[in-house]
Amino acid sequence: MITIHCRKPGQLNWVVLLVSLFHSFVLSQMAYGHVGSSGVIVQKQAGKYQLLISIKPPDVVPGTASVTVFVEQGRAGIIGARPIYFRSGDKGAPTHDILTPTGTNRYEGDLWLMSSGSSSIEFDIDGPDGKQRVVVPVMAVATALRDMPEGTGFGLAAMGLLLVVMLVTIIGASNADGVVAPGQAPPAKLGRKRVVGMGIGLIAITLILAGWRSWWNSTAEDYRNVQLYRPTPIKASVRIADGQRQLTIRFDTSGYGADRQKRRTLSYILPDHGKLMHAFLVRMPGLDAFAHLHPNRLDTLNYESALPALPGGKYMLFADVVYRSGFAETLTDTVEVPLLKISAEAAAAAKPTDPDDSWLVAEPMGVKANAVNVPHLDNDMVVCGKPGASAKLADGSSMIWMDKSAQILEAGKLYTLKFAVADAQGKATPIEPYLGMGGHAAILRSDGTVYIHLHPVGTYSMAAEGSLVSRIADTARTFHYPNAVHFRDSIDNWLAKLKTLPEVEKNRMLAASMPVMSHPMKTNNMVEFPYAFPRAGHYRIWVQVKRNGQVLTGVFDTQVNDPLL
Amino acid sequence: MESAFPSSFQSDREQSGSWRLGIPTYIYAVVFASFCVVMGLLWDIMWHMSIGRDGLLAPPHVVIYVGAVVSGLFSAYQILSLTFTKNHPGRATAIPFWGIFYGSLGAMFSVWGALAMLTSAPFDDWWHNTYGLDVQILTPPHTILAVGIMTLQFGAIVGVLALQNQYRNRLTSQTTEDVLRLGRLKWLFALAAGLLLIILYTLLSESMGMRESHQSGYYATAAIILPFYLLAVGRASMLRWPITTITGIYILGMLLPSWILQNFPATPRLGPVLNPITQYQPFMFPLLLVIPGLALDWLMHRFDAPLNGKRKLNDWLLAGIYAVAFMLVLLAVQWPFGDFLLTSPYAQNGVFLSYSWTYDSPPDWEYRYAFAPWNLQSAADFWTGFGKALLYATLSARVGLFWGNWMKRIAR
Repeated sequence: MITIHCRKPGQLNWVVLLVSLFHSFVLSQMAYGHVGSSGVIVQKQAGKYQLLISIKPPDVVPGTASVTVFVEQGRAGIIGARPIYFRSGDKGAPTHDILTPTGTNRYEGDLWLMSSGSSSIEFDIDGPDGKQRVVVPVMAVATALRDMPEGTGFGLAAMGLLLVVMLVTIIGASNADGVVAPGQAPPAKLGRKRVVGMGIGLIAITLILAGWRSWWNSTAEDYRNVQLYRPTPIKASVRIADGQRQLTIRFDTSGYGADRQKRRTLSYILPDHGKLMHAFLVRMPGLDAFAHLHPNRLDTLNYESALPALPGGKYMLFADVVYRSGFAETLTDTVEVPLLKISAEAAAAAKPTDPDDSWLVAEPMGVKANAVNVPHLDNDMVVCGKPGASAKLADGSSMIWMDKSAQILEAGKLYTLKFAVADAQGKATPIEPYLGMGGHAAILRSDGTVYIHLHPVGTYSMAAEGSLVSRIADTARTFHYPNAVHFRDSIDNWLAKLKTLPEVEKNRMLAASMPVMSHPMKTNNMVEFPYAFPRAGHYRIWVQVKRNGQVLTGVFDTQVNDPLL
Repeated sequence: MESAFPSSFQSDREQSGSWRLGIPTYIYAVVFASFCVVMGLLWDIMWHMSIGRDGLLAPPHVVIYVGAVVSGLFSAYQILSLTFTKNHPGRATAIPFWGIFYGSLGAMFSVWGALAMLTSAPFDDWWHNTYGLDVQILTPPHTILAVGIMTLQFGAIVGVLALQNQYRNRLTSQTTEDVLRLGRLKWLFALAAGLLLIILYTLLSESMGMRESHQSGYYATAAIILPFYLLAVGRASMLRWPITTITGIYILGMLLPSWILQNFPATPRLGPVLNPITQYQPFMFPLLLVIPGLALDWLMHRFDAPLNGKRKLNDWLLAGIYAVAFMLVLLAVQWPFGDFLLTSPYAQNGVFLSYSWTYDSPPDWEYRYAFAPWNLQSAADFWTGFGKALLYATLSARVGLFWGNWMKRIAR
C-alpha cells in the first residue's frame, strides 16, 4: 500500500453544490473547439479570490452563454460580467451585467454573444477583498443541429392546418356572403361563387406555402453549410526519411476562395505555452500508444514532426492551434503509422523534433469502444479513504489519482482531477514545471468523440487568453492585423530562440509570455485539473508531469455514467 | 334596398349624439389594435437599433401584444356572441361558416390574424434556438407574424368598410348624424389603411431605404406592392382625396414615433457597440408617397369617376395610366430625395433623421453619407430595370383596381 500526504477534503464543498448544476452539459454532443468538450472551465487565482468559472457558450450564434462563478476563496460582493469580442475590443463591449447570487459563493447569469468567432467574457469581481478582473476566452460558433421536437411539430402543424382551413373559408366568404348587402336575398349563384373563391384561395395558399417552405429549406441549408462550425480540415501523413518516420500535417485550404466563413488566418497562429501546435497521437482502438508532439512549422500550411518509437498502426490525431484572434480549435485526422524496423541503437540515437515531445506505450483499455459498466483495472487502491488509482511511471515512481469521489464518475459534474507523484519508496516527491506549468492532461473517450487537452488553469487555451487580454488593453474599436510575413517570422524566431534556452530560463520566458497565468502550484507534488466529462462513456486520461528533467506520463481509465437524476 | 342604420352588428343601440356616433365599439377597438401594433413595431425596431437586447415582455412587445389581444378578443367576442346568442339581430348580416359559427368578415380576418400571430411565437422561439437569434426583419417565422399582423389590420379595414359601404349607393337624403357618422367612417378607414401601409413599407424597408433609391430594384419593389395597395384603398375609400390622405397618414405615422422617441435615452445592451449612442436612434424618413398619391387621386378624379358623363375607362387601360404616372412621379420624387437624405448635411438632423445609426455599425464607415458602389447602377441597367418595374406596376395596379372593386362591395 502506498502512503501519501493527504489534503483535507474541505475544499470540496463546491462539489456538493454542483451535483445538480451541470446536467445541461450532458446534452452537448457536437464537435466544438475542443472535440466533444463543450464549455470552458477555468480555475484561477485573482488577487485574494480563488475562482472556479464555468461558461457554457451558446450552440447557436447569436445566443446566450450561461455563466457560473464559484468563489472558492475570498469575500466577493458583486460580480459583473460582459462579453468582449476580439473584433471590437473593450470599447465595443456593452456594459456589465450583474450576475445573480444563487447560493453560497455561487453567481450565475446569461450573456448574449452576438458575433461568431473569437470572444471573451470579462468578469469584474468587487467585494471586501478588493477589485479584480478576469478574462475568459470563449469561442462563439454555431455547433447545434436541431430537429423540431415532436410536440412542437404537431402543435404547429395543427395550427397551420386550422389557419389554412380558416383562410380558405374566409376567402370563400369574401367572394360570396361577404358582398351580399344586408337584407338582400342571397343570390342563386352564391354557393358556386364561394366554391370558386375557395378553390382559387387554396391554390394561392398552396403556392405561397411551397415558396415559403423552400425559403425555410434554403435557410436551413445555409446554416448547415455556412454557419455551422467545422474545424479546419487537415491532412496527416507519415513518410519514412533518413531511417525515421516523419509525420506531416498539412492544412487543407481548398474551398477558402468560396467560403469566407470557414477561412482561417493561418499566418497568425500563436504559440500556446511555447508551441505552435500541440499534436496528440493515440492508437486505435485500444488507446494504448500515445504521443504528445510539437511539430515544426515548415511553411504556413505544413507542419512536420519526427515520430518517436511508437508501434505501427492506425492512429487518431488531435492537433490544437490558436489564432491571433484568440480562436482556438482542435483539428483532427487519422493517420496510418507504418512499422519501422531499425536497430535499438538507431532508435536510441533518433532525436525528437522537439525536446519537449513525449510518448508512452501502455496496456490497451481492454474493453470495446463504448463499453459501459465493466470493471476497470485501475480501481486497485484507496487513498485517504476514497477510491483512487495508481499508475507506474517510467522512472519507477508512481502517480496517484487522489480524491476520486467514486469509482464511477458522473457526466456533466464538475470535478477537480488531482494527481500526486510518489517516488519509488512511496514518498511524495516534487515535480518540475513542464512547458511552463505544473502538468498537462489529455482526456479521450474510447471512441475518440470526446477529446480535451487541459491544464491546471482549465480547459481553455492560455494563448487565447493572452491574445484577448492584449486586445482588451488596446482601445481601438477595430483590430488591424500586422503584416503577415513579419508576424510569422517574429513568431518563428521567438520559438527558435526558446528551443535553445536552458530549462529554467525557458520556463521563465514562458511564464512571461503568459501574463495572466497566475496559478501557483499549491503542492509541489500534486497537479490538479478542473473538468466535467461531457457525456457518459469510457475515458482514458494521460497525465503528464516532469521530474528530474524527464517528462513522465501516467495513464488512468475511468468509467463515466449518466447522472442518476 | 338598404336596411336601416345602425348596423345590426351592434348588440346594443348607441345613444344618438354619443361620441361613438352609432359605430360599434368593436370597430374602434380593432382600429385601435391596429394602431397599437404599428406603434409597438416601430418602437421595437428602434429598440433593436439602440438597445439591442429584448425579452418576451420588453415594452414594445407588450404594446404589440395589447394590439393582438384587443383585436383578437373583440373579434372573437363578436363571433361567439353571434354564434351562441339565439335570435341575435346581427345574424341577418353576418356570415355563417362551418355550419356553426356566425361572424362578420372583418372579425374573421382579425381572429385569423391574431391566431397567426399566436402561432408564430413558438415557431419563432424554436427558430432562434435552432439557427440563432435572427438579425433581419424577414425570416419564415417573422413572415407568419407579419402576415398575422397585416391580416389583423386588414380585419379592421374590412370591418369599417362593411359599415361605410352602406352609404355608398344611398340616394336618399341623410340626416346630420348620418353625415357625421359617414365622415367618421371615412376617416377610420383612412386611418386603418394608413396603418397597414406603414407595416407594408416597414417590411420592404430593407430594400427601399435611401441607399437603394438610385437602384432599379427599389422601384421594382415599389411597383409590385404600392400601386396594388394604393389603388385598392383609393377605390374603396369614400374620401375626396383618399390616396393623398392615406399616404399622409403613413408619413405622419412613420415620423411621429421617430421624432418623439429620439429624445429619450437609450444604452446599447448588446455588443459589439461600435457606435456608443446615448439616445434612441430614430427609424428612418419614409417615402414621400403623398406626392405620387396626389397624382393618383387627381388622375382618379379624371378617369375613374368622370363627372362629365363620359364612360368610365376600361380597368386595364386605367391600370396602365395610373401605374406609369405613379412610377414616374415616384422616381421624380424619390431619386433626388434619396440623394438629399443620404448625402446632404441638412438631412442629418432630428427632422430628416439621416443621422440615425445603429449601435453596432461603425460610425466612420466610408459610405455612411454616400452611395456605395454596390448601390449604384449604369444608366442602361437602371432603365432596363425601371422598364420592367413599369410592367410590374401595371399588373399590380390592375390587381389593385380589382381588389378595390371587391372592397367597395364588402357589406357584412
